[in-house]
Amino acid sequence: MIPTSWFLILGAILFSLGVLGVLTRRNGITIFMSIELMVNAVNLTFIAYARELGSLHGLMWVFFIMAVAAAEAAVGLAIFIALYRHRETIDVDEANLMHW
Amino acid sequence: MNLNPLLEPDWLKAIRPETILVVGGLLLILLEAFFRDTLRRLLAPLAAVILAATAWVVVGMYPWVSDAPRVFFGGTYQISVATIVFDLTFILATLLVIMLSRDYLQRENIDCGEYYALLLWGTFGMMMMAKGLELLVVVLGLETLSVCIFVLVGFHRRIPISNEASLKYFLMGAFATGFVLYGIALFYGATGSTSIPQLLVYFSQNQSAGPLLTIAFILIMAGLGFKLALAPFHGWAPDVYQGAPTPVAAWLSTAPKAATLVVLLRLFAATSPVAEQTKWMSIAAILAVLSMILGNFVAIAQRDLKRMLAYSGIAHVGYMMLAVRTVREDAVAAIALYAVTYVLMNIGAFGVISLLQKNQNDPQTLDDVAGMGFKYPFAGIALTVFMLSLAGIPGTAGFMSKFFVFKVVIDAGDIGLALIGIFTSIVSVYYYLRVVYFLYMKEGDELTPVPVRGAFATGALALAIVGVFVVGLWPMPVFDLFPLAANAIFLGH
Repeated sequence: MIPTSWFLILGAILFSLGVLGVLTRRNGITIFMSIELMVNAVNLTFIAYARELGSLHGLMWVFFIMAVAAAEAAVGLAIFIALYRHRETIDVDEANLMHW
Repeated sequence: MNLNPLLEPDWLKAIRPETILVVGGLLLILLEAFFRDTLRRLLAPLAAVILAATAWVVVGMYPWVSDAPRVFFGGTYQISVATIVFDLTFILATLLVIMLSRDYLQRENIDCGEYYALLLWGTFGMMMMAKGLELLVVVLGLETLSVCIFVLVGFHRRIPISNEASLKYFLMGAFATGFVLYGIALFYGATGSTSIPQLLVYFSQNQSAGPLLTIAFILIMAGLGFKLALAPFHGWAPDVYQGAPTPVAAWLSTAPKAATLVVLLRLFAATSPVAEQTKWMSIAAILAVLSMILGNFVAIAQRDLKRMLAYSGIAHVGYMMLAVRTVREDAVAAIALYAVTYVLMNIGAFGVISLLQKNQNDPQTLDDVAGMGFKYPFAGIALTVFMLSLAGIPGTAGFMSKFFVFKVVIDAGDIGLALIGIFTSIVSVYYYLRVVYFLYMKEGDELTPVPVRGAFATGALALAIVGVFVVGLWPMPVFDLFPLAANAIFLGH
């Protein structure tokens, strides 16, 4: 059987990749995809721990996190569309109407 | 965890306020859809009535829980004196914002039922956060609130800065949620539970936490710090407040912060037996100090009123964080008092700004209020009162709540931190009084926007002014509830 730690390490790597993507990417949708990667890394971590601890509690979390991510995606994509109508782009560097 | 569906006999009664809010929101949307022309003018009053009904039900729960907190849904949902106080704070914030919104939305031609529904559902999310004893419930409440805020910030969808603010808040908010969730996952892995009472039991037995839990704690602090706009996670706040419709900025700068602070209080109380707690609390202290210094000093450089209030909000969260991190029982009362005060004065200040009739894509600057004090006495007096209260001038609520927050910090022995707080709040007097200076001492030119007065907005401002003085001169009722409230948050330990 594959040891739990492997899943946890994979989760940590995926989470870090997501954070890196958010910080380096400039396209709004790609940033959002990176955030989804982070959230799914969290799901993997929960599942791995749930197996390790033999408890269903972590699995409940995964269901709710998926639902929450779906709700966020629905609202987020609508925001991208609203922005695209004004700017013809969803590059976050172009979203600079407001300054310090 | 106990998976038996043990529904307590009176669980329906326990979630009555939440039910009213959710069903009321749905009702508003349906009314808007079917009777758009006839009922449009009644949407805001109806939303206010729904909130009043919720407040009535919440108050009615007091005798039920005045002896001891009650928990529902397998120990995941707590009704207590503390949650009643915070529920009423959220309801007050939403009520004031709805009253301010009506005239604003009609003027900007974006008056829709969904706006009020989203405010009600957001209030529901905050109630879940404050009542959740299980981190899953807290996260679901936080997300309900966040999704409502994403939409509300972008509600002025025809103007570009509103879209942009919404994009920024969405990306930042979703990013922060990722951190909170990963932190909770690590907590789950280390302790086998995400329930706050069970965490407390676990930590009482295993007091050394280890590096994994420290990382988890930092991740949760970073994520919630984003939501609170604590420095250095505050980057979104000025842009979002500037771009959001002004009443929405008023709402989002006050009530959600109070809800998040309740969550932090519960979490810190649960982890208090941990040996590393001192180290963790010094991380919280660093964030608080950074927020107070950065918020107050950068606010001086702002001419845009909404951005100035954003930086001042960062500083105010810093003060509250000082009290939260002491993990003392009297911090609960101090935070409750500060939350009510901040709701009254900050929503009031944003409310006056929302009266200014000008293109919402342009910034509302200090020059826009120049000379307003004599020409429009009510708006002038209102803004003066809120600025004095934000500055913490004695006699106003702002003074009282700062006094009690710093008293908690000093009683906890953190004299240095309290001094930094007091010093930075003296700095803040400069930029608050500058607004008053512009109101009365400067001559406005022809282009100065006219504050528009509607019955609802005037009522909201009057209510906030009265509230500022009532809390400022007579704060004791909150403190009478304090031992019970503290008991509920700290689970009697």
